[in-house]
Amino acid sequence: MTRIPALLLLMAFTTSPFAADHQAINLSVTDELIIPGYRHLAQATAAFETATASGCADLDTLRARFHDVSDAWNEVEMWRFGPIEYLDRRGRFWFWPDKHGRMDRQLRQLLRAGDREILGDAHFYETSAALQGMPAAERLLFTALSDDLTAADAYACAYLRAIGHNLHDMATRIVADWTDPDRGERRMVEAIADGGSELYDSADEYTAQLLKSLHTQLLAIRDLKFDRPLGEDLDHARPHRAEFWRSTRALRNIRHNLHAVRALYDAIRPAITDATLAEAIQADFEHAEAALAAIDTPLSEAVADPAHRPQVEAARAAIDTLAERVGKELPAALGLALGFNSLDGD
Amino acid sequence: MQRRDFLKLAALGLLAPGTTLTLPARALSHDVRLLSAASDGDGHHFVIGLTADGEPRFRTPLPTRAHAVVAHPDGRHALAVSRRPGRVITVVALDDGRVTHSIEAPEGRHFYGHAVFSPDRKRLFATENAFGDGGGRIGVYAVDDGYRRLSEWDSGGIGPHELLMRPDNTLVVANGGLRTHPDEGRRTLNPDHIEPSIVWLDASGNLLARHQTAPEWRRSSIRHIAALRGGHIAIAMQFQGDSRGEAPLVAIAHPRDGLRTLNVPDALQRRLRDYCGSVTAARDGGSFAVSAPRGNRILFWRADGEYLGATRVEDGCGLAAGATAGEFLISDGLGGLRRHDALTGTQTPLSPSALRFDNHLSSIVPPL
Repeated sequence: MTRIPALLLLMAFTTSPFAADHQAINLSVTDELIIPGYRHLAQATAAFETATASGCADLDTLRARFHDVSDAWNEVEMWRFGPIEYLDRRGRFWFWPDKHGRMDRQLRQLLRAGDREILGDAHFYETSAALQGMPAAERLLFTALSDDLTAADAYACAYLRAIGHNLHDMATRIVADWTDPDRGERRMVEAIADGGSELYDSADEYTAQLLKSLHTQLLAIRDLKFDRPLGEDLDHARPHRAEFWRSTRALRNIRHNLHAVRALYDAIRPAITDATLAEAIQADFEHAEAALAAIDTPLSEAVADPAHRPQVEAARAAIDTLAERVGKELPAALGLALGFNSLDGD
Repeated sequence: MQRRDFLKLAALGLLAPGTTLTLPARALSHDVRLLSAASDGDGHHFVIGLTADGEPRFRTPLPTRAHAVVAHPDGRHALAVSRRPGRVITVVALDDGRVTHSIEAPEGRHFYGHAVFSPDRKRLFATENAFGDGGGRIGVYAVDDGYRRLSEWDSGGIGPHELLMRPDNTLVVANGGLRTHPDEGRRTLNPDHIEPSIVWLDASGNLLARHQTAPEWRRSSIRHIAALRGGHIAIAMQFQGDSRGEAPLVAIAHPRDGLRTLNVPDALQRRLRDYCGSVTAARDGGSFAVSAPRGNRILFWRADGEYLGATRVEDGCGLAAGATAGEFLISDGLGGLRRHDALTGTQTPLSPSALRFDNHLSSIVPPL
């Protein structure tokens, strides 16, 4: 009773009119978007680590390398499965949103205490996730704290070096965990074809996971990146809830997110047989990209500025339209049923 | 049914108010035997009643999404409990599904989706969040007095989820350990300090026993429980994150013997995606089923911890005891419903629903 005969699985697999296309999409997304995205992240973290390792005198270079890592991260942020979820790497890399200001509070405690042992390889990965990643790096590089970085033998600089090393360590491990020929995540996807995947029963299951990533990222842009700083109305705008407002990166992050979402959609699009829907989604993307490009002030300022706020609201609305259409119509158009309990359990 | 019969059943341990209600068919004026929360594709939520074969009998709209549906021991009503951060328990009549009562959580509290009746059916216990300080509570309500709130107890942890009542009046509570606040949706606020536990409380809410998993696995949130033979409790967990199949997901606990985790077969370890949705004991408490909707599997164990096997059910989550010893009902998020015998492996599909079954299924079954 226990095992599903392989033949039955194979039948379920081959009788779906969509299945063959889906495995091709699965492999192309994995090989052309996911893995290159993480490789790019690892290159960016390597450069950031190198910059932090050579002291903190050159603040401009440090900031530029920080921006490169942020750009690369926002191109892969949407993948909410696989090695990024292992060992809480997502939270350790990008602890945001930080609704209770934990990073700031813990960072000030850390700098006050000046404990160097905690910065060592053996301990740093175990410290609070809020202290390990990019939000803490931003706090050090883009506030008055950056003045302390350049002092000789500065603790803040040693701390930034630990962050740089830790980020690169995570990024290289993520790449390795995707690409290991025997146990890697890519192998789990490839093995779907011969029924030997430890993780997936069918190609559809992985494609559905990709679709869920796409939809979830659009919701994250709408709910976390726009709605939280927007607040209820102009009087209740919350500029400091904008993502990475200190480095005025909020819009740049969203643009990279949307770029990555669009690339995934382009990869999936050939499998959509409903041409009308495919074109509607395409138009939604173009509308959202244009609305986003039209915001000509940093998000943290625009939300509280009566002249610019409508631009933000328009971009938010465009993302909402896209997210709703993708969530409601795309799964069925691809012959996929996104699980109800598995998506949102308790 | 006479109260005397009811107490006799309770004394025999045959009555487990909660997911399985044991009542002779002649005591019932209707043929509703299965209960579930359900949703359509447009965000409308319902409590539904079905016959033993899955034929729909009623479908009552709810103000918010419900989680578990608890059969009232009177055999005539059911309670649909809001999932977090909902604040209402809707009481419906089983003969036509009409709403007879709404129980509101008091100020500063919300429900967690599960509730249970006391063996004498006078009190209702619900897991609640005192979200001001994040502490777990057990709300105590007077059933015969319009569900008036009598008092509240400390649940013995944060984020209490499923609870069950033993025939000896001890309350067993799964404290998931996850702190949330309604202002922040369903986000976990204490990802680095999760302390899940299973606790036993006496009839006055005093802590009798408390057990946890090993310290390295505190991210495995203890959320669902079921009563087995001999005072043992089956536990289904959800790991916060991806453990690559290493985190414990299933355990058996006893107040005296502690908590023992059970292994999932190697081939399924990663596929379950660190997530179990519900656990239900068979009618005789001799076996239990655990659902893993993210891995599309239902797994079965004997009460002594021996693994029986698994079956594939896409998005399968709801589990209820069937009429015989090894029989389970399994519902899924695509609207499918089937009967499955864990001892023989035979499976019978029942009438599918146009709605998506939510996480939990409850049954009303005749005495063995």
